[in-house]
Amino acid sequence: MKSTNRKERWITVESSNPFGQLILGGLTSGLLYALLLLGFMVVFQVSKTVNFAFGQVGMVAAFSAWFFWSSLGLPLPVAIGIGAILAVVVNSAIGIIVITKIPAGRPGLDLVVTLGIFLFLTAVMQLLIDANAHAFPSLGGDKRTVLGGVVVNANDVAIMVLGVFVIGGVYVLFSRTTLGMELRASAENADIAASAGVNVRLLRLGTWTFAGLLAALVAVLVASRLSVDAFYMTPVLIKAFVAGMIGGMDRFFAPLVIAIGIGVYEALAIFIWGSSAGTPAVFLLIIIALAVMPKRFTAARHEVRA
Amino acid sequence: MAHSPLFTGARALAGIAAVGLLLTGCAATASGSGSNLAVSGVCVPTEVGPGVTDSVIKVGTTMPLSGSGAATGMATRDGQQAYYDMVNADGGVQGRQIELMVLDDEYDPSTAQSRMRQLVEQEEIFVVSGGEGTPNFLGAVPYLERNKVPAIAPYAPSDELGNMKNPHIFMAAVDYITEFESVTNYILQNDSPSRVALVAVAGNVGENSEAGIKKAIGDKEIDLLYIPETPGTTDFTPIVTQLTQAGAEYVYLVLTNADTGGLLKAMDRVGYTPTTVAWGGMSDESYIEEYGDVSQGMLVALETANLSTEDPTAADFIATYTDLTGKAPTKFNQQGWVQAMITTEALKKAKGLSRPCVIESLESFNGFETGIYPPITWGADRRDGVKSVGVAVIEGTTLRVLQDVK
Repeated sequence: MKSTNRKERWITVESSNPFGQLILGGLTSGLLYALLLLGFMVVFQVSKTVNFAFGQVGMVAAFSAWFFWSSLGLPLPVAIGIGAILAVVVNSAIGIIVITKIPAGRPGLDLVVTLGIFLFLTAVMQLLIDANAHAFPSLGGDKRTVLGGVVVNANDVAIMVLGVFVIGGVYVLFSRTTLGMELRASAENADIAASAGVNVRLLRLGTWTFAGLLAALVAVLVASRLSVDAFYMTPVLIKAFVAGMIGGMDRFFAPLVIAIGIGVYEALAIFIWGSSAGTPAVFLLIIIALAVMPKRFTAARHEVRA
Repeated sequence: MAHSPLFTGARALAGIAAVGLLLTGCAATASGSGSNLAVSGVCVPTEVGPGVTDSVIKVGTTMPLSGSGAATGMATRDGQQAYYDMVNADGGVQGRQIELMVLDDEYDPSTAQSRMRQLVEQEEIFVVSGGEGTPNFLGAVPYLERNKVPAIAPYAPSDELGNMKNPHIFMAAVDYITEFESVTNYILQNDSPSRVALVAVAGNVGENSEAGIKKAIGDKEIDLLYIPETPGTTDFTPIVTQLTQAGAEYVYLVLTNADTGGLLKAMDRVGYTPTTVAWGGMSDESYIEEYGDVSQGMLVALETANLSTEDPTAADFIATYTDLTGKAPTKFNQQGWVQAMITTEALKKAKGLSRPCVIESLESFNGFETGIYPPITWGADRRDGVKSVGVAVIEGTTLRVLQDVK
């Protein structure tokens, strides 16, 4: 035990701006929700499919990366790369092998099928690796500096930079490029797009592949801040989905901004009302949003998009 | 048929929420039966209870074998099975082989109750052999009490158990009140903090831990901040902010391994370095292996003998377990092993193989040495077999014992 002399206490607190620290934590969490939601939305907008298993696709990447790094001794970047490839393969397989086999006119079947995949991936990873929680490398969490009394570490910065670039990049891709136009066209009416020479199948494969990569990226970042096991992405997916539901899955910036806002709101709710209030506060937000938002905001958009 | 994104989203959200709740576990806590009745039944040595044949004694319990609590449940089950395999290889108990049946309760109180009912009514187990997890086991307690089924040494620390409110439950693990009173007493003997904080799973676990710390603090001028936590927290910054604002010099953690790791990482990210104090689960080698780098200097309660010491009893247990299973035991293997050992001892000492005789046998335990728990004593009006814990500190990749398990 240390000395009882107060001056010799080993407790240190580098942060001197608790409110700023709280906001920074909320922003980084919110950006992670937004990035996960972005992958979810891209698939929804192009394939009109709700992928329940999306968080678990990311879990496959991070959990297997941990295994390759920790148990097989591979260098961390290699392990993460292999994990990302696995996520891409799994997500593409969900999209191309499973979802395309769902017959038209069966609304809700995609939910049931991807729910089954959710449970399947969880069970498989538990079987292949284990049911324990594991520490993932902090990826820059220990490299920090103090700005305006707020401790900022490399992990926070990486999330912010990635968030801005990935969201901005996807926006530019969708709105300013020929590829984006083809994507939107195939989303609106795949038959017409195909007859106009658009390779719809390839575009959809590309979309599922990109989403898988995004799920892997988010899952690795979340694991670096928490822990990794077969379940850890579920709460993240729930919050991302809440943002998508409030903001509208067919919009772009609104749901992503709401996802970031949810991160900050949740941080404040936990700080004020305690940890148990975090998730209920997010669900309360949905109720309030549905009650007060104009109907035109929550209704589907029907304008021609391409 | 077209659906609005909102409608589709609502359906999907409901599904995700349902799966989330299913997989992260329900934190509900069931209360005990509240009965103060004395344990009924008279031991008649010639009577034979359910699950007992000429060749077999069926015992069983429920544990989390899937979901977020699966790792500890499976390890406890494996520990029990290894011990019973050894006993059966030596001829069993009272000329009978012991048959262990463990069902998955998913760490959920209502599932635990229905699985326990299945064990008692369909599988006809004779007694409940151990168990693992507090909220789930508490869910089964009212059923066990109503049916007067003795439950022997479950690992379910709670002030609901270990007393005559639930006289059929014989506890060998201390509850969190005793655990944190002991650990805090140790801290106060060696230091004089003015501010401490507790971050613990909300509900019975957190309230018991807080009560234990308060009991040790007594009338000393020490501020205690209690922050209840819900498993599955995705951002620990608000909790860390509360801790730094309070200036807590000691932070007690009574959380799952995953959340303990998440909170410690969040503390590390802002450079907050109090002394951390944790419940007995963190003395498990698997925890130290995973989170040792952010847990250096952490004080942990020792509920069972430290496996990393050179104590001959611990060394003997490790060698025996490794011989039997081909792998070294973990803390939860050790928990399962000692649960089976105590159950076996109760069956051996029983004058007959009926439930009243087993209860009489359990009530006659007086300083029973397991080499793993402190000596166990139960009596006609006593159900808390153990009243103390040890303290150790995480140093490097090992535990250094500061105060032995007495």
